[in-house]
Amino acid sequence: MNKSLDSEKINIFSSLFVLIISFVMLTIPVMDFTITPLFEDGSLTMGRYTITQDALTTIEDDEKISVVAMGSSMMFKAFNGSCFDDLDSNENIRYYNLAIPSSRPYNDMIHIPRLIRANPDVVMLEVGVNLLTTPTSTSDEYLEFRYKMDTMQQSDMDIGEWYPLIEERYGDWLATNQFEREQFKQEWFPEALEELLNRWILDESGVYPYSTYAQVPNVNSDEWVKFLQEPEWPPIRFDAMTPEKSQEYNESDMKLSARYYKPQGSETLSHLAIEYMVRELVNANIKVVLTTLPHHPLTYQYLSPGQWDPLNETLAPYLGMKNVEIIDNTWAQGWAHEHFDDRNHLDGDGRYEFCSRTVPIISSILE
Amino acid sequence: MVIDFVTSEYYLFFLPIVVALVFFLRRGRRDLQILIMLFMSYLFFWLASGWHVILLLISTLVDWNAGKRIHASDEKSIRKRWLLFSLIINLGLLATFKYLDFLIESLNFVSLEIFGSSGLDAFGILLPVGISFYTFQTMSYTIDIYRNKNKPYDNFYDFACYAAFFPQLVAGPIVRAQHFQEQIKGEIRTTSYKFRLGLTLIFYGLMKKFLIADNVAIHVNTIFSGDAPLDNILLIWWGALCFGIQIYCDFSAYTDIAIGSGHLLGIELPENFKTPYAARSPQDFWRRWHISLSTWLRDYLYIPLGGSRGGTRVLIIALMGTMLLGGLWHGASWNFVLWGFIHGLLLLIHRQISANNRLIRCFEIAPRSMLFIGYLITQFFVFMTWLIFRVEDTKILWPSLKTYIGIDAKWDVEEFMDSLPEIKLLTFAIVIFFVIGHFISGLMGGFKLWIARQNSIVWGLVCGAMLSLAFLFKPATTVEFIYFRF
Repeated sequence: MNKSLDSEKINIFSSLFVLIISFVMLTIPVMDFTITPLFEDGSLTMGRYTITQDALTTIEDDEKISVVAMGSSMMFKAFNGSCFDDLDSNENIRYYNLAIPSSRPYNDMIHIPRLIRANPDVVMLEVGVNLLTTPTSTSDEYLEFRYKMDTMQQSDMDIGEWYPLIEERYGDWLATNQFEREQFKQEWFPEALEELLNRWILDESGVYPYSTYAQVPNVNSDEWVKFLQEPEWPPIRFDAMTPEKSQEYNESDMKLSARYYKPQGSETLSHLAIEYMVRELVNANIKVVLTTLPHHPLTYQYLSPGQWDPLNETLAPYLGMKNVEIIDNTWAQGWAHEHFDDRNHLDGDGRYEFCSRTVPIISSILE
Repeated sequence: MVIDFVTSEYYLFFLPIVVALVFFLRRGRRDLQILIMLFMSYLFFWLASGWHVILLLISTLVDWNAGKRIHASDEKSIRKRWLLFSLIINLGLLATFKYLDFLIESLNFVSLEIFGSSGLDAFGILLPVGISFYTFQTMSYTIDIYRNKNKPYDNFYDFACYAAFFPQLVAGPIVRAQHFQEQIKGEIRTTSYKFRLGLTLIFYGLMKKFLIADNVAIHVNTIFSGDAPLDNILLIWWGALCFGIQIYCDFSAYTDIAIGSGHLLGIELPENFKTPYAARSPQDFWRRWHISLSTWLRDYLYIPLGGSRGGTRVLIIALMGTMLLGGLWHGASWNFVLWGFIHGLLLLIHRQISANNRLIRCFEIAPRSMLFIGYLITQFFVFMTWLIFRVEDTKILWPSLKTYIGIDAKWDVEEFMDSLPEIKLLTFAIVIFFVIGHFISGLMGGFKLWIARQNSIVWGLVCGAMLSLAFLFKPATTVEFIYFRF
């Protein structure tokens, strides 16, 4: 009787054991095999959004002094790591551009534990009038996408003090264990399979048209580090416009920065995120450069009096703080129409200008 | 916390806890096992439906008492009074919570059409989860005692457990009291075979739900959202096909998970489906689709109304009455009534045609071809009725029905492809997978039992594969089980 009961139990447990093993062995490799290459070639989403973990591993492995820039599309389009490398007399420094379009400090902060482990020497954090707000429901779609994408690639070690800063309502978009990470990854699977079926059966592909954000070189390829330093920046506005169109743009879209960017001086989720990032990085002996970026000179005329003063209020607590430097381009003089591709993004000339203004400061910090 | 068969909490916590508690207390502690199942069933219902748990309790208490009184009395009038008491309370609860708002809205509509104004406000009553299912269960218990077909349960807790047994509480299968009574007669036991069969059914159900039902639902929702070209016959046929697949996979998935959960607890629940899309006649369809409901309607409505033994007029009344009420049982909406009506009509026409001498001769000459033609006609109409079931908005329903039968319809492949959601090829592949699987299952039968009989390695591999498919193909937004609404 007991013997048969024991054999029943053994039977059940051995069945369950095989079940769990086969589930894990089938699911995880299939997902990695299907989804990861499509992230790289930009078929599922813009590959730029998927690179941060791999980029930080590269930075960790890099024996050179490393300077990492984080921020939104303004930083993304301002920071040319190769230009920095060229202008910096120290050949033992490498500059990395990890900025991501539409990113906010409350997106960037979730990479801080991993960034600290990567141990860069300097981190340039963008602080701008476009960033200093608390997210509203209009940004839910982007936030869900970013939080899921970023946390599904993390490990348990990457859960830090950023987690309690994020509002509870976003909790479902943050993976905090391996099961949730696999669940988020799985959400891409049907789309990935559809893409593969399209390729095999119809010989069609859904690769995004803009290679800038879309296609990512293989991590082991020669282009990878260059991609991290110097992503492609296609001319999308002024540089691709006729003078008439440019004139039309100046008259209409230049007002938008004043309309959209109404920063607050404190107590937003962005402020909490910046405070957290600066504190953690400084405590880890990593130098922080808070960087504001320039706007097209024509935008300033549309601002209400004091509209962007909260930017100064935001930066004020960090003035004179040890291991924290501030580079303010928003109020700096000398930025001209030739430096811009649109009302708030730099073009090739602007990047060079930004690079020449910033390199001496970084060099002095590293000295 | 909301719990049901699509939440991970059910599989990671709820079900393992119940199974562990029930079998941890085995050896001569059968009453305790029942009490645990009863408590956990009420907890499940409370987590799924909140305060509506009181309605379940009322229904249970009413039928427990009515059953006892009817059995105890030899006087016909007393027995009848208690039966009426049970029917009034049960149907009263159902009418109030399921149909009152529908009645008010219908009256308002008529009043608006005739008098130009509507006077009554709907109450906005939330439909209690599973009310249609447990009401039918408890009612059948009392009716069977009244008909001397069954004896009352000896123990209130056994009966309460029958009424509330969580795996089938929300969406069936509708279990007869006698069947459940036999399952819990002695100590509740399970075996490794039953355990594996239970898990097999659960994984099979999850695979049907997440891989098939929820993926084809994306196409169905797009096609019947109101923006699609409803005169494109390809699109409407595809929409009807996808919805037919969705509703079958969704509902039979729920049933599989319910039966599987029952097996894990040592209780066998009846089957609800037998490859319905292999049906060769409307009658055959109802022998394969939602069997526990169709047999319930047959035993407690169709036969009492006269059935087929009282001449043509009685047959028409019995059949149409049963099908109309069967339609209305699904939901408080006129499209369900119409759905029932059309099915009633199909059954009547089939009865009429199958008695035709010429047709009988044709069947004798070419039985296979005739069966195949019967199959095609049956499925054509079955899928047409799914349109009625799915689309409540008449502005979408009427053009869809016209197109389905080819009136003012166009055949435009390019428009068809453009009107579908982004994920197309995968859904086509899933539909092909379903069609092949459904017919293999129809021809061979017993695939789930076969899996459960295999050794640990084969079982683990097959179930692991099913679970992987369910996990990998689950769309980002999971659709609630359709029959939760009923």
